Amino acid sequence: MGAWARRLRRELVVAALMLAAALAFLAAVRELYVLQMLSFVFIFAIYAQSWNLVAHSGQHSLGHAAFLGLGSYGSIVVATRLGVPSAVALFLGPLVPALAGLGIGGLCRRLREAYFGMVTFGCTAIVQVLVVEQFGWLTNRWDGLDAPRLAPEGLEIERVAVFNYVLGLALMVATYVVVASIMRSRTGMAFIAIHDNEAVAAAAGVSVVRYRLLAMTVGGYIAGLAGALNGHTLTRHISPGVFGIEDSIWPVLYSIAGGLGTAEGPILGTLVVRVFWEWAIRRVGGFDSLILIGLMLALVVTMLPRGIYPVVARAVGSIGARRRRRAEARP
Amino acid sequence: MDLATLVRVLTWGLVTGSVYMLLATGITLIFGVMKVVNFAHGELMMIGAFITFILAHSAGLNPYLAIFVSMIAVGLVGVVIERFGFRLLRDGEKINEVFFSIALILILQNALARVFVPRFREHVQIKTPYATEVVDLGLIQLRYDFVVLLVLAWAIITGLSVVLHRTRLGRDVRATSQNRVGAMLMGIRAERVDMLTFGIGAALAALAGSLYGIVNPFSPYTGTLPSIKAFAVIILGGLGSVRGAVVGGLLYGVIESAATFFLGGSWRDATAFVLLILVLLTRPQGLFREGT
Repeated sequence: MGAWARRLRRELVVAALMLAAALAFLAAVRELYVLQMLSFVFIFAIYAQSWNLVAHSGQHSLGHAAFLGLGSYGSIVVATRLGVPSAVALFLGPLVPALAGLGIGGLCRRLREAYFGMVTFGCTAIVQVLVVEQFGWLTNRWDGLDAPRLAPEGLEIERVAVFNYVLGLALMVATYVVVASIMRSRTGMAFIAIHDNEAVAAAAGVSVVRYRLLAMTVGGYIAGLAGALNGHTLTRHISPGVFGIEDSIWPVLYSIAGGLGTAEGPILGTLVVRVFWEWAIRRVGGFDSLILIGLMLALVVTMLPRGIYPVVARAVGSIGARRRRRAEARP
Repeated sequence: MDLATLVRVLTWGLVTGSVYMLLATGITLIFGVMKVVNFAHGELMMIGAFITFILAHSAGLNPYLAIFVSMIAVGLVGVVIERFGFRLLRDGEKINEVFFSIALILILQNALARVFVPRFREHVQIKTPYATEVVDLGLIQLRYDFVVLLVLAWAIITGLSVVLHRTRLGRDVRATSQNRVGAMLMGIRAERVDMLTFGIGAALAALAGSLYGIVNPFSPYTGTLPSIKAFAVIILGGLGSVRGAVVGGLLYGVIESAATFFLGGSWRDATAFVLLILVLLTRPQGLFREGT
């Protein structure tokens, strides 16, 4: 535990800062709309974290919505059919997408880049058909399912919003710590090795397929958690539309905007893109705001391929370095 | 089930298959030359469909003539996208090209939707003057449009094949596709070939979209799925292989049509991917493997 905390010192500080900032914000702002938007940011930051972790192992999924959707379905079905409390179902449900991640990962274990993207996208279409047709008796086919809510009964609407906000925040920070500690561990090193060059990684003794499957399984679970949380707190309903292309694109966008390969990037990216979008949608309308987001992504990819986070980190880092230098200069 | 139904399923398969064939040919050409998978191909397709629709509807042009205008326009859009988009990413990480094409999806789709949705709301379909006419084949009656569509698709693909194999330009394209550096050493201007290939691919997408729009109702969001299916088709046929795209496209159209008929409507979209997975598990190099 001590060694773990020491290795993750920076990440734990960042986690504490995020918690403190978000709670301070909660104390200052009580507007329902803002809280709901930020709850959404928290949930999708979890989702983007999952995508980013999987991408960290060289697997850039274009069908991540499969995990998001299966998480929602899994948790709702467990809660409603087995009578398990929602708070427990929230964590049991994502086991379904974890398994799906293992399966899809196994199917795509030899694929990379665009091929991996195409096949993972295709798998999402298959998952949709399976959910609607084969498991229609469980999932109510195209009509979807209503989700039992997570917040205690009898709470007024403002309280529910605060509950959702705090829960989303807690799970996002927890996910951040888990993802960061994976990235910082030996497993994370193996992911990077596979990401950079599979042949070299294999030659160095990394069992490529096993680590890729591990990433997909853990990623499936985390994305499923985001889906379950979204279903129980924000949308309160799940339908097969979740398996469409949009929900697969969002985590890619958030992660790239924030900065690939860092644990902080997806959170920053989700916040920035989402807040920008909410602003843009009021100023220029739905279509133009999406065009702007597309242009933003194109610009980031061509001009700033490592995303926003390194820029921010460098700025913060140079402040820190200056302070340290000043401290050292003092006698 | 009688013979007539079987023939009907088959012709419907060939009609949808022609659309997939054209899309897949464009994607595979671009992949062959630039090694880029353009995920936004379906958006180019819908822009093509929309231009044809507008020309036919508002200007009263015969849709089959409007298609050619649309092909040229979208071809130019393709040239611009290559020159000011993908070319900037040439030397970077490969995956950035995937990300860039996702950005293109957002930009093109919403640019189209912003013009389209306020005027037409839901789906539209391109109306042709021959909508009610049929050709009697004895066993079944074939819509006149289907005949024109099949002939047009085949004529363009044959023309393309002639250009690729019989002209200097086609030789440049094939050479760049086989070995980029080698081609450059032989004095071929690879970047110009890139631009041209992307233009041709985009024009084929416009044709595919227009034909799709004659047969089916469409909206700005319709293109994504057919283009992803076209990816399945080129994996089926072998990436970079034009013959694979043609055979794979038609074959896939027929399989999809049969699956929809026998298994039910919701299998229509998943068929592609079940097939894709089967191919990846058994024959990862595709059915055909060759240069263009």
